[in-house]
Amino acid sequence: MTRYRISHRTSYRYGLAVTDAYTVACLLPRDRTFQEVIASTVVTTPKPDEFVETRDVFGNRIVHLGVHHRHDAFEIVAESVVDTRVPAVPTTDRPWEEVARVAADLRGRPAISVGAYRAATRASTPTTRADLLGALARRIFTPGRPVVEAVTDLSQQIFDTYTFDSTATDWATPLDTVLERQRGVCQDFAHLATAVLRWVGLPSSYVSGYIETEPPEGQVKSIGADASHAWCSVWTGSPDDGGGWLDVDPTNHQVPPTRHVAVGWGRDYADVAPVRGVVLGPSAHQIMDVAVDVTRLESDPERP
Amino acid sequence: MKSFDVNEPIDPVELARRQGTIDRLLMAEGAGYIVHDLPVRSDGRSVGLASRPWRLDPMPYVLDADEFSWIEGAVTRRMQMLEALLDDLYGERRLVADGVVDPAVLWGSPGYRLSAVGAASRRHQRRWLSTYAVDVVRTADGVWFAIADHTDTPAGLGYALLDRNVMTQVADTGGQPPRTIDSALALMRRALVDTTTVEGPRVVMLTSGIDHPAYVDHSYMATQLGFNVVEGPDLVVRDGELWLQTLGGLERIDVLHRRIVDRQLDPLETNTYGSAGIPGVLLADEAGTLAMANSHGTGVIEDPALISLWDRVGQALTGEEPWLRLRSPRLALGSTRIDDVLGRRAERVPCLVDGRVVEHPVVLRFHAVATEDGIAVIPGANGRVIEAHDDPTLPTPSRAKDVWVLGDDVAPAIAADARPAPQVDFITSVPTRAADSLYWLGRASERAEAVARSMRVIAVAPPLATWSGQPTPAMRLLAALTGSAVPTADPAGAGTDSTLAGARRLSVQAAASSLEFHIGSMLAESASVREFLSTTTGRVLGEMVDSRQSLAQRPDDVDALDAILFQLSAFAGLWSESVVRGPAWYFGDFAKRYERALVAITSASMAMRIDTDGSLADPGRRRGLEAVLGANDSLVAYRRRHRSDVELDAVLALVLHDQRNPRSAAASIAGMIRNASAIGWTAGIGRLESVAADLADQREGIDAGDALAKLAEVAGVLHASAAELTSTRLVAPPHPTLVRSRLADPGAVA
Repeated sequence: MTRYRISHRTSYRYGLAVTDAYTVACLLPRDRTFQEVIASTVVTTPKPDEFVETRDVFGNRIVHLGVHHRHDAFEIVAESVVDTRVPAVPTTDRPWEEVARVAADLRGRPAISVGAYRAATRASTPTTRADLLGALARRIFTPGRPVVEAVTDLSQQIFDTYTFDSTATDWATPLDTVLERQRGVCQDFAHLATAVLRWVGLPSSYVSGYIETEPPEGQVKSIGADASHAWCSVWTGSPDDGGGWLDVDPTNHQVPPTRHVAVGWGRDYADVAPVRGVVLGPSAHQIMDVAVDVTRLESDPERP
Repeated sequence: MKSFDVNEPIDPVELARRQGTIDRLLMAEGAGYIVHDLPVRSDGRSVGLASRPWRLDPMPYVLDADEFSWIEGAVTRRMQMLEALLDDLYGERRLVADGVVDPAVLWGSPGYRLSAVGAASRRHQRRWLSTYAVDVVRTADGVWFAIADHTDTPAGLGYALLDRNVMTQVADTGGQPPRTIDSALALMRRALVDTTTVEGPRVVMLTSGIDHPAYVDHSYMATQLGFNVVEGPDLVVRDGELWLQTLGGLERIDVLHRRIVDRQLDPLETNTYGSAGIPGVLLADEAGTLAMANSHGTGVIEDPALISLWDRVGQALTGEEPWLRLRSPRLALGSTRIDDVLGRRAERVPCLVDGRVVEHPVVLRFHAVATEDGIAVIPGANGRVIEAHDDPTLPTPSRAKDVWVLGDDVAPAIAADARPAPQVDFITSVPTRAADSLYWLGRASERAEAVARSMRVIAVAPPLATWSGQPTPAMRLLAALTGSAVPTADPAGAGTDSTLAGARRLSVQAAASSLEFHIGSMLAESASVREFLSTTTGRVLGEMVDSRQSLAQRPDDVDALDAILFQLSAFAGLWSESVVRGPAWYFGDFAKRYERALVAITSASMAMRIDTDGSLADPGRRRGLEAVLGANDSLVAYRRRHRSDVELDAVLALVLHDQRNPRSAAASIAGMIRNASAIGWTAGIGRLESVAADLADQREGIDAGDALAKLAEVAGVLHASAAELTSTRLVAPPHPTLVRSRLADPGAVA
């Protein structure tokens, strides 16, 4: 078991004061089988006039914030303490085609809770370069290949052939561009992986969260240098068939991920954007700054 | 096709005559009144959509009572089926659990609004569909098909009422009048009230404004229904409730009759921003404090990726076979020709096109509303003639047909007024944006009058024996009133009268674009506040569309100018005699008086300059002072008072100081003060009173240069006062900006 403390600070400065601001934040982590949230808070400056916490349709914790008076800066600080374990890899040895067929034939509640993640959304669907996506999918998902092996290879392939480049894309870069240039950030690679998985019929979710980073050899870890992160999770079959959800981080090629804390998940980035909002005011100019710290509080390998 | 008197072959000449009457009546109703080609609105947004005039065919499409009762049943069943579908897709989702609907398709649809999932249980909202419209076509062998469902923001009922209103004045009913559709309004009102469980709900209609292609439909309906038409910036969400910003403060809204599609309703959810939408409105929806007609999420029915499912899925869900089956052009491969879409020949009906009777298919849009007592289908429809080049799915009714249902009026099974809606008091409840529009309407109308009168003075000026080549005083005044540069002298052309005529024409032409602009502003502003103006005002404005066009063609045509002056006088008369006194009127009238004071001050300043201009011979000076009086419509007043040649002092007394002359600056400022106190703007009253006193002091002789500076000072104070009023009371809609975060994870580079 590893216990992390996470601090995620997002600050905005507006060129001119705004009079009204609405913000939706997906910053509070949720429990899952191998993750327990011990404590979590969201605090803002200035204090919000409205603060409402709800759950979205995926079960994520969403905070609605309203600041209805003049302000020229806004800061949101989310702090959490979370216990995590490295999840076990599903034991299934089913070929991927069989898992895809089982997924398509799901009935009852799982048809809804799992089936939703087969949906091709705009962010996870190529519009002009379906050929590139198809080629990538065919190269990896060869006939009869066991699902876990294929998924692991997908992570490996993206890791090997795609270059991390924070200048290559922005928040709105379509998947087509990522496929063409083979560059991007975690968000792009998570979208790419879900796109391939859904392409072959495997339910796959986009996961938003954090990753603990290590400083370069011999250096002290600097404050605020960690990051919010994104990866994906794939459904490998029914639990009673040795299946279940398996997290895949293609940016770091970790299957399953070992130093990750999940906040929430959905079909793509838009479902779980950490912070989104609308401000009303005279100016369109804004400066945003994000600082994330993931601190390991304790680590007890004896406690699973 | 029915045999019915009006559709018996009629003399094309008679049909053409009826067409002419129809065109004129539609224009008079304000429907031919096309706001979309107006250049610029006062807030700087340009209106770029091409205008959408529609022609109403002189021959109605006629259904007999039996045919309509089948339609009634079919539309009712289809609406019930879609309601059941929405209820399941956003509720239990049995269709997904049973494998009837593929979750990959449903969750992949941008029309499937996740925030509406589970909504039914937490709402005051009684149903998904309060209103519904369906486009249907009949085949040549008499089978009806649906070609499109409208569930998101069904439009067209306003057009149907307008068309019927005009048609009954023109067509020969042959002793068999069609069933009235007057009950549509009461039924719609009932349906909107029934949308919520709240007693006595407050209802507003949300539109994206005059840029919306169906704005005429929206505003006509709202005016008839007696609801406020509001735009996104009129509304705010606070603590999960929706509020209307009015001059009197915030007013709670219970039912939002939205004419904005699902995906544009809340920029916060969709993370995109258009000019429409209300940030946070879906929070109010989630909190259950607000009901929407139609409910958020209903647009999923219209998603092209899903429409092929509904007939089959609906049947699986309800166990009933739909009477109307969907044959969508969006599903037909390769062709949008109606015959290909239907898979058989569509019925053709006679239409008048370019003076000839030809046969074309017609798409009929029927409207239904849901109430607590059941569904009512309106006994009429929008008929849309499909010419060879028309896509039957596109709502481009270049040619419309009124749709008549024969038979005696049937007493409606649904009581239209079973539940009371609170009377919306337009007198006190004025959205701040509407007040803003009335303010600019008042200013534009007053400025237009001054410019038009001044143009007329020049257009009718007699030839002169000699001309120096210098711009005449009247030209200089016109330039001052339009805020343009004084035309430069033309030394080469000095002396001859023909060049004077040319210079006059140029001067009037230059002013014409300014006049066009002010009339355009009047039309644009009034379009969004029609519910505050009288019906007759709508007709006057409708005629101004024409006059504005003739002006563009012949700017120095005295008849065209006279027509505009008549219309502006009619507008002014209706403004003072037919508009209810309340905050809306006081704001508009404040603006009118303010603009009039500015015109008087500009004119008086010009009079002083003319009088001291040494280059002017006496007759020139006299004509210049007369032009000033003419621009202020004060020539007769002057003659009655003085019976002498015009003299500067007397002109200034009349134009600036005479309280008995309603055109004077003094009387106009007094009018501003009256309006300021009526709206309780105490801060402004003192300021305006002191500027009025300053102006009065100037009656005592001051030398000319000093007087000009003093007048400029007065104008400056008036300007500052008006700016303060508009900036404090009419808060301009702020520009929303999206805030985004992005995952860039430098630390994650492995």
